[in-house]
Amino acid sequence: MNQSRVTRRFFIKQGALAFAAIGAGSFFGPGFLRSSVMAAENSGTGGGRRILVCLFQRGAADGLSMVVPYGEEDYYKLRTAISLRPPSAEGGVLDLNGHFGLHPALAPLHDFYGAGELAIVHACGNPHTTRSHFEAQDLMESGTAKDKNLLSGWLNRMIGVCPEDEARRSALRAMSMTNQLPRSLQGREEALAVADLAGFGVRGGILQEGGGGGFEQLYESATGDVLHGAGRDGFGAMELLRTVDEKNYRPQNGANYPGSPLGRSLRQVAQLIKAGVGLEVAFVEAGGWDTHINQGAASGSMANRLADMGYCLAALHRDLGARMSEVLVLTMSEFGRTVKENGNRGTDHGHGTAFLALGGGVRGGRILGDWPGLSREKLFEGRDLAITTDYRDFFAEACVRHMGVAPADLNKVFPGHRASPQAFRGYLG
Amino acid sequence: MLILLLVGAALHFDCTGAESSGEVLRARHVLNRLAYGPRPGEISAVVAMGVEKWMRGQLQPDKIENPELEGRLAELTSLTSNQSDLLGAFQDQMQRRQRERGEDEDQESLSRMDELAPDEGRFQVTLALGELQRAKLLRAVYSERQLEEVLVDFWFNHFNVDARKQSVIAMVGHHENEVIRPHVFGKFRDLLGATARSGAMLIYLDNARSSAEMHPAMQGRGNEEVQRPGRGLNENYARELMELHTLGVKGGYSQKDVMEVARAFTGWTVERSTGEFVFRSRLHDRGMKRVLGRRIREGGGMEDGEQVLDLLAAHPATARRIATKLCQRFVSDEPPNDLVERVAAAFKKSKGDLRVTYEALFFDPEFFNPVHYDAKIKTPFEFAASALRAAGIDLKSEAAMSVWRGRMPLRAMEAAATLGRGGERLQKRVGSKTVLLHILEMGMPLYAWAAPTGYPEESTHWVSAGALVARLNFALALAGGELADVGEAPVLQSGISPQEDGHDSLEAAENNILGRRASEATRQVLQKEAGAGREGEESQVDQNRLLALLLGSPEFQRR
Repeated sequence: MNQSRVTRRFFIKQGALAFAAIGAGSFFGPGFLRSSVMAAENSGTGGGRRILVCLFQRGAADGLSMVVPYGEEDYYKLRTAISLRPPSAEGGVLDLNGHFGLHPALAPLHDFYGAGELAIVHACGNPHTTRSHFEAQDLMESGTAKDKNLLSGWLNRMIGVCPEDEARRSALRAMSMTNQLPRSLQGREEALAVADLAGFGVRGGILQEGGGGGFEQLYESATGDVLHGAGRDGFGAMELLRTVDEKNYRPQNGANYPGSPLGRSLRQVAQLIKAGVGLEVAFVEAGGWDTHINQGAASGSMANRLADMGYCLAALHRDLGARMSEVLVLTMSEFGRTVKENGNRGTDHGHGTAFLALGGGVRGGRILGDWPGLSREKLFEGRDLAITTDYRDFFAEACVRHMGVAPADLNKVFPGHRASPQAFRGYLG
Repeated sequence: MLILLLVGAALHFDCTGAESSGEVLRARHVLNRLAYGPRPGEISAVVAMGVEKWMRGQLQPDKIENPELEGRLAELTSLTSNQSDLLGAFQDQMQRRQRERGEDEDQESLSRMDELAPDEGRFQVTLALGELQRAKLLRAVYSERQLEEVLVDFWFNHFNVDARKQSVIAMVGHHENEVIRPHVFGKFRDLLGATARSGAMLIYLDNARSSAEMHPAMQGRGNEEVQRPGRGLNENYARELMELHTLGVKGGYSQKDVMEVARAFTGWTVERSTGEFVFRSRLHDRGMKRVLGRRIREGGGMEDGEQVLDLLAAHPATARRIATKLCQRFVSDEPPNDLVERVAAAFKKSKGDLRVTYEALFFDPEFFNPVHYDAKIKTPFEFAASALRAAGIDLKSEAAMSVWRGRMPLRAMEAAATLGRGGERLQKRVGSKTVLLHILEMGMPLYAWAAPTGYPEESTHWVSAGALVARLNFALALAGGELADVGEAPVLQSGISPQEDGHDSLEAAENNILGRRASEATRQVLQKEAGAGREGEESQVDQNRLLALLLGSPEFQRR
């Protein structure tokens, strides 16, 4: 108990200072206290900040099974065992626009499409990508075409150029619901990887319960050292997370998160958003998309993955209710899969795939981007869905129109890429 | 049971006040830079021997006996398995997977432990990677040839490969121990030549699949089918060879040079079943090349690449780049320019003799300029290794870990966790984290860094809130006996009880763990904590708490 009292005292002391600093119009107090104050401030007002949630489908998701070109003859020529049937047939796709249909397992998303909150950008990806999962993921998360030596991630650099109210900057501003910080969030700006909110912290043991304690004081007093800042943010995050009671969280509006890892991640994202702790960028991931064999069609392994994703996103949407107006969810995957099914009723590593945008601010109910078609001469290297939207233009639109990044700063987020609003597909207007 | 001489060793210090003597600080500095940090009593041992003599000894590692390390490495049997056996196992596994699960052309999913069955053949490759990681840790903690280990780490990082790419996992051990290690005290040109032939490097930077572009006359006649995707010139290795391995990004080469160098290396590839280097002349572009203004005559073969390596190794930009990187590792993130120039000059004058280059750096007066003391922030690996050394920890062999009864060897599970799968399951199985899992959590997957740059030398990369929290948890686990591969709290000698004489024991503890007195701010916190035990609590707990705080202190994150 002794330790946690010390922590509390530091918190309160710093918090009081911060209030004073803000009252005086000066925003240069330590981040720890800024975040604490911000949390206090925010929980009262209900927020108003914009939140970006990125969902990475690791393993190369088959966009042609997510958003099915059922109007295309070539689709059924190249795929037999794994093809999805037209909307009219039993177990068929859910029609989107007379040419494309959504996988039936994504039924919850179909409602959002109808309500204009879901937009689809098809044939999207990295035009320079390799067919190696890890290289392609790395490049996409770095936000480059092929510069393997760019060590920071696009989300981290985006945070660096987001207009920010210094006083509201939170130690929980950027969070990944994973064990390791993904490349997307690595870089100069502070970002935290926390797979389990309840488990984050300095775990007591011989320092007694309550965490931190002596450590906190060590870093508090290490002024002038770069480590001081890391300590401040680390303990600031712990303090904020202490206000978030993960175990007793009750989703609202009857939202029911699947018990999957993705469900757990999104449930925690919703909880953080509602707790008003200053979250602006969240990263979640889902695996199992590398469907080389027995991919299935209306049912099967791919359908199971899609159903999980659909129900998870629907639960987030329902749980957040009106707050979805502040939230934009993007889905992404390192590349798509071969158009032709392979000898094992699966698909191999391909090129373009479908990216989704979901949120209150989305101008949805539309499939955006040029559709290259599936005829042989249109396929990339004679086998894969060609890419007509550079994934960086898809991300850049969210940077500018959702997070408020100045178009002139896009070259900092996507170095070497001419990103400009002209190239946006318009899912945000 | 292990006895940590928290107090005893401090008696050797002749520092009675707050200031340690210059020689003590110099000894501490070299142990932080040319080694993975001081062990208990080691600073005084180096002082007694003479700092310079100790350094000269480290520069001649062959003369240093290393029995403890050799004993500890004996458990890791796959360290001695050869590359072609591992490649064979890797390919068997791939074929089995293709039969059972369908094609995976990039051969990258080996790491998924949930797909690995418990028969030996199936985790042989993952186990080899796990034992390589373990060996790296054991060497850093227990090798007497500390400088050699620091240099192997440095040069591996300079010539980085990533175990997650294709068959690199089966060749990464060879890359470290047969390609890098034999040359770290040799000539740079030999090291460069060895890495250019390394199977791991040829796969990692794609030169293995680079071949002469099809002759224009052959194109447009339906021959494109022959030229399968992935065939043709691949400039990946050529670019990194100049940008990272030699000249540096501003080294004065052009995109045209990159293409020309790539052409020179066409045909440098690897025998897929053995990992051995092979030159295939039918893949080689025999045309004339021009590299950095130098003409390479047409009709050449493998010697084209050798000529390029000669040219690059002798280039002044290379001397400067290598000197800069060495100074960043051994001196500070932004080393003084004139020091870099002196080291580069030694490199040039000695024609890339690395031992001579190191001597120029280590015996330069600037090396011991106190402004550089503690200027570097430890990487997670350096932090973990130095903490284990400082606390005199005896890491248990897998055989001695009674808690471990898994189907899969512990080291294979650790490797799988590094490759991205199964870390939680491993922790659940073992009950707490191993040192390797902690290092992973601090943000450093060993042998699995994607970028050809290697881990950044800049300290700021390692400073973040999440990583710091992970460091504090490691410090707590170590001091609290919660490391899976230690299993018990270090037992501290309680000669002086802190309740009776808190200050003296504090001073001893600081000197033993930090190698010097802590800052005033840190000491105040320590003083309070040293006596913070609840009534009736063993003073042992106070000692362990003190150890955790010292290992987690800002001071201990630096070297």
